[in-house]
Amino acid sequence: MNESNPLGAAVLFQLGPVAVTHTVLTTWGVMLLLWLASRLLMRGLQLQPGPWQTAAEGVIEAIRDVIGEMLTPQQARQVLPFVATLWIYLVLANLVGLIPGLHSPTGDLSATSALALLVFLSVHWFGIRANGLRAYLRHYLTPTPLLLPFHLISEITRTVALAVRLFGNIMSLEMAALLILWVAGLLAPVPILMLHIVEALVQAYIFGMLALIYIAGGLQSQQLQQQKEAL
Amino acid sequence: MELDWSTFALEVVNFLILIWLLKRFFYQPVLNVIAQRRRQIREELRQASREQAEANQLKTRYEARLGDWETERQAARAALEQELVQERGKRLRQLDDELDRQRLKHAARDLQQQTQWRRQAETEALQLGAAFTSRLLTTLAGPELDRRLRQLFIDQLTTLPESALKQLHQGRLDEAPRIEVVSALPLDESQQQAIRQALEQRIGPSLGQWQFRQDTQLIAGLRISIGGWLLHANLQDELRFFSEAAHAE
Repeated sequence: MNESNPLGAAVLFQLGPVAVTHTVLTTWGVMLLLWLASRLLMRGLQLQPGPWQTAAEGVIEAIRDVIGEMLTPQQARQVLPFVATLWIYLVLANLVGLIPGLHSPTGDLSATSALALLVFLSVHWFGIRANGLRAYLRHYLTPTPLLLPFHLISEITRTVALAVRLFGNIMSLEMAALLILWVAGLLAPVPILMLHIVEALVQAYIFGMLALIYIAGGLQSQQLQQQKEAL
Repeated sequence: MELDWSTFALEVVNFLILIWLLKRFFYQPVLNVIAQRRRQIREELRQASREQAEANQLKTRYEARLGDWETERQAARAALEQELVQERGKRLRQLDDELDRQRLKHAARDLQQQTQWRRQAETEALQLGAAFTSRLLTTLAGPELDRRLRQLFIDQLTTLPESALKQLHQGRLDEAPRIEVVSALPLDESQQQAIRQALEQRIGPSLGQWQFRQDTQLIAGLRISIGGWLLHANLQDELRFFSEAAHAE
């Protein structure tokens, strides 16, 4: 366990060379919870939905509508699993910290960096898949190859910002609640916890929306280039 | 704030697995259900549109049929009314004819009844008159009237037409004819002889048997039967003849 660094995640056990931290274990718990909920929901799927199915359909429809505002229906179908999983996972992962004894996985920079890296890779993956490798890479040279370094810096910085923003917000909330608890007593952190709920939802929304915007930018860059050439 | 690469790698793997899990067990089934429901709704909407189109078509057809039915109904009504008018006129004519026949029939019956009543009244009047006259003449009858009637009989024998005399003569020639003289009053020998002479003088001598007898019903006068022939000269027969003659009219 890394007890000396409060910002680091505690290692619970080793699986060979791989250290399983509290963050990973919590993530597995969230994954297990989502998988069980999905299995339970899938058993009772009907054309005439019940309240749980209605809620689940509402969530997916809302996400699909948001994606559909930025992308074509075909692109939206491809992107939906990634972006929807981001939103759902981040909401639950951010809220896990409210449970006493648990910490939000998103309060760990390793987790948020992993998610940011996946967003970074997914942007290129969907962009190359939609436009082809050459056409996708060409947009780094537009409007002029001189901007290539800036494009590269932008890709890196926005990915880092994505990771650090989420990590910083969630970690700071948990830290603030912990400090207030230490200083003021048992019920004093309650307002901070309520703020934690709002902040968890907002940060999940921001992270997912930024990921969607980045992916949409990658998908539409070639189209914009083609439109410019057509003009 | 340090990066744990194990956690980093596991989180990458975890998230990829989570994407697969949710896609496999959550997104795909729910999206399939949504798509199926939308297909069902679209199908129901198409079905509803088809049914509405069919309903509109049926409505149009039924309205057209109703229009045709209305036209046919009006035509049938007009035909029926015309037929009723014709039938009414026919019935009225038949009724008028029947009424005319009944009227004529009743008029004829009334006329017949009136005639019958008049005849019955006349008969009764005649019978009454005959009875009255008979009673009056019975009261007034006497030897003088009787004598005058016998004389009238003898006088009329002289004025009988030849055809009547021939028939009487034929009756006289019948085998053993019986000549019966009925008188209201008894006849003495001379009176009988006078009657016999007058008859034999006109129709010739008789070979038959003469018989004289009295019948007060005659009131006055006499009645002579010769074979199948009767000669009257009495009040009773005259009254009856008068009555019958009135009936004959």
